[in-house]
Amino acid sequence: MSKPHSRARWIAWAPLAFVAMLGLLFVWGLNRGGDRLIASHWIDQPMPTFVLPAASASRPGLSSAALADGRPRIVNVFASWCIPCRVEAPQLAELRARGVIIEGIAIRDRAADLERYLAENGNPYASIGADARGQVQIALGSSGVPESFLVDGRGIIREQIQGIIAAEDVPGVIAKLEAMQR
Amino acid sequence: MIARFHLAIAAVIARFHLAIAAVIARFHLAIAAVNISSCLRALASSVLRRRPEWWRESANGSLNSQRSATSAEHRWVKLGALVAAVMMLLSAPLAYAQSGLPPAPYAYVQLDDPAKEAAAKALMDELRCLVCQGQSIADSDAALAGDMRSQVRERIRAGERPEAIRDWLIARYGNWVTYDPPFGWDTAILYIAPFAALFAGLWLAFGRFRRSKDGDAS
Repeated sequence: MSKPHSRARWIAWAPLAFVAMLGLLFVWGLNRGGDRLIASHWIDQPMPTFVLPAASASRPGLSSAALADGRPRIVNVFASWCIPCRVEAPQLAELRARGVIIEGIAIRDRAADLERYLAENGNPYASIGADARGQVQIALGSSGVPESFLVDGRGIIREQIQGIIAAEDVPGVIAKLEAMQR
Repeated sequence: MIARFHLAIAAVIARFHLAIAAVIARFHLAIAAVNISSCLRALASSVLRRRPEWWRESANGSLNSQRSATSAEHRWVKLGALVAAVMMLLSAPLAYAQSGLPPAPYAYVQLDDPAKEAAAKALMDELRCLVCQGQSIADSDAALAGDMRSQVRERIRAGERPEAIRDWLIARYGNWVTYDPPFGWDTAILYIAPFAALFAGLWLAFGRFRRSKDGDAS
């Protein structure tokens, strides 16, 4: 009779053990740290169709049709209200100096704020489209600023860079864009 | 038919998750409330202790015992204040830089057609905010969530099906963006676990009932 009894006792504790494990899982989940970067799934896909008006008087606006002219480039999603974008500005200037084409999409930006931002941080952009309501940002699967999309000569998005392009990332970005050229 | 079944299950699961989150949030609130009330009580008692000596003596007996209680309670005040400060820091929302532009037209404006607004609201409740992760776009005040709400409302007003909008967003942000993810190898556990738990429970319960009946018989 002792054998089934010990088994019954084991089974009686199983639900408690299960709930305790569940509790531990929840504690782990709560302490795992908050936000994650959500990468775009719109990769190896054509640039969504859009026509954005000029965000700044100094540059033309941006349309998706202009991105398939055979030349790979960076499409940089940024904003004047975005503080990390200021940190990224010197790297964009260097990329520009080394011959990379950079198109800008200014997210929810006011013209006056943007002009001040460009005056302070330089203007490496060939064009700047005004995405006043974040519609192109959402169509790109972008979840924040700054983000950069590497677009090949046929207008296909090849890679998303979330956050700042750091100084040490610059050679890699140039190499990737040159690889797309070939 | 199967899809609708899955939807129903997913809705139940989502509600279950919401309920757990609400319980946890209430638990945190309760702890915070206890902390704050203990801080207030301690503060009040330390203020009271500043009353003249004669008042304390007449009210609380000897001065000596009062002193020791004071230092012990001061430690509790400090600890309570520290815990409260840490909790406030943890619960403080991250300061997101926001633009100076007014929100998108339908970010905070409902659609005129109540049926379409209801459809939009149902979808917005099930879309996850990319910025305030863990909130739905219906609940979030982030600018990106406002833009997404406006887009959802405008597309539903134009006659687009909610499921088409959801699929469009999933193509951009992955299953992460929806609280009602489609059935797949990575979401299978969400759909299967409730049944597995139910069957395990039934198996356990029937096993015990049968055994106790056997026990009565023998």
